[in-house]
Amino acid sequence: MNPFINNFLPILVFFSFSFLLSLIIFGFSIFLAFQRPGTDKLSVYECGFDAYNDARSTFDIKFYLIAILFVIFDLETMFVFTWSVSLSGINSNGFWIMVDFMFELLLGYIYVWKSGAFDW
Amino acid sequence: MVLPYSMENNLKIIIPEIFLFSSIVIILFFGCFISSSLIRRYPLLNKTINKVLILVLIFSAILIVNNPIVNSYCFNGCVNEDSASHFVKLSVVFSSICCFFISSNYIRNYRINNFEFFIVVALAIFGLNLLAMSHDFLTSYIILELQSFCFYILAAFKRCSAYSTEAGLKYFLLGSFSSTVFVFGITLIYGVFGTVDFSLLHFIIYENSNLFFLDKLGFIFVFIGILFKLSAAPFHVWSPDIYDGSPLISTLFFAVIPKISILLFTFRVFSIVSDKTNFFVSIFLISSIFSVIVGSLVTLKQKRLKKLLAYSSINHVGYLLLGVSLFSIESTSSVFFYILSYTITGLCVWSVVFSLQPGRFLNYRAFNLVDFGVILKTNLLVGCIFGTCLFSLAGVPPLVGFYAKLNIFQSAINAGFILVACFVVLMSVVSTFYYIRLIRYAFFENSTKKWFFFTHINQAHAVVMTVTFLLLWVLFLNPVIIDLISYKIVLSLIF
Repeated sequence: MNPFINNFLPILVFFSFSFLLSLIIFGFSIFLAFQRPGTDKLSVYECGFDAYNDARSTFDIKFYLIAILFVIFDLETMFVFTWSVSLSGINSNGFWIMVDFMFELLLGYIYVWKSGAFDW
Repeated sequence: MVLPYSMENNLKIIIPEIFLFSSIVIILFFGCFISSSLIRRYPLLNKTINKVLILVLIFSAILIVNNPIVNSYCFNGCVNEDSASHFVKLSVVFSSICCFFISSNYIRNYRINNFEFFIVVALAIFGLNLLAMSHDFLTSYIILELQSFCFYILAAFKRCSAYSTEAGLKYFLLGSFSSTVFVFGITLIYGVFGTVDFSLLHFIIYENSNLFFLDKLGFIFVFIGILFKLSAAPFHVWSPDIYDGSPLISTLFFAVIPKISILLFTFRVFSIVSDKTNFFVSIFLISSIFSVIVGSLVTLKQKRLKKLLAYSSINHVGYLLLGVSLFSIESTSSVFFYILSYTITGLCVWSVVFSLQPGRFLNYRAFNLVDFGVILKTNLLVGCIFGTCLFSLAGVPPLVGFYAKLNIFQSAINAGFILVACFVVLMSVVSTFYYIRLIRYAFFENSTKKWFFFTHINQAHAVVMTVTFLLLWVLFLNPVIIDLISYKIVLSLIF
């Protein structure tokens, strides 16, 4: 088989499977569930304030801060997964680089904590 | 092909950077634990951190000087230490030490109270040091991002000011766009060649007879990203706005520190395609001519000091790019001569600007050119230093700026670009006009409407001002040191 296809075939399979799965879940939730639309269902939830408002009014940035911090500390899973899969293939250098990465992430976490970003 | 250094892992060459980074982390922890402590009543730490970071930078300069290893690789060829990176790192560290000295008074006068300011600056210096050493497209991309993110934060540091936040947002949006272009170029290069390592790419391109279309496109995108970072026309539009909007202290760091490191990186990328330069020379040549035109003509209309300095830096980048595009040993050394002397002159200009303090009712950010009308009456000596710096920037003979420009023009003529050289010389005459106009405002204009007052110039600030001022004269009389450094930088680049 062509090595190009050989390399990327699993990705194609994954992609098509996830596409199909999301299509199924999304489609069945439209066709099978009872639809009872209302204005309250369209309103904003969990975000603290009205999304359509005067742009000049002051608002609290806590929500955004939490979201940004979540992104930072969640993104590291992306690296950890790939690292754990390929751990047998890399030498001790790769292991210690990950330890260093986690350590630096910890430093950032302590900084964020001490500077009071988690105080609600 | 496996290059001999590909598994070389000489950690000793990045000991200065490891030292710098770990001290930054320790200082960060010191800052965030002490500044949030109730028992110590939430002290302001910026002055302390400024002094500690000066000490750290001096120590890392000592480490760089005493590094015995020349031409070695680390992290499987991602990072390379040669004499070019050695001297560029030294000049970055020294110029940033001078900037720290200059800015120590400013933080008190303008109440920059968040202790993170100098830590962010130090992280940018760390990034620039690594950028000088990077030997790999991916590494250099990440390091360039580290450096740019620090600068975005610095631009937006005065968060209560609408101008500063606007500048920060603009810088962030445009900078991330240019980084996207840069990384897209890298993906194209990787797609064609299957590697991002500089030496390997150079080897492959040297072997092949001609470049492919995709490959050329990739390098063009990479060069566009670099030209944006250097603020060369036609990618210059961000720079005056951001210089003007961001706080003065951040503008100092944008203006003085990063250029030399990015320039070395430009040469490293350019030397990959050095055998096929004919196509890429034109990019730099066009950009250089555009920069010189924009920097000379648009500056004539500027009324604000910071905008004027931004446009004048675009002008100087034009001369530098002329030297880059010629890509001979002579022109490359003249480029590094130029950037070193420009850094010294820039330090002198900014130290004068930092010693001025507008009166109480003036807007702190609006340094208009007319305001310099009283500089001679309030402090004669500083006024004379200011005039000398401007003459050096314009390239008037008894100062080092003259040699810098002369070298560039001479190497352009020697390479056969006589028409371009004549054009650039004529444009440089135009650019002399606005420096001399500034001198006219400072010396011969009688405007007593607005008075500048001088802050108390502390000792270190005065030392920086006078030493750089004296260097402008001394390096004209004996430019051997700076010439030698620039030749040493050139010799270790691939030709």
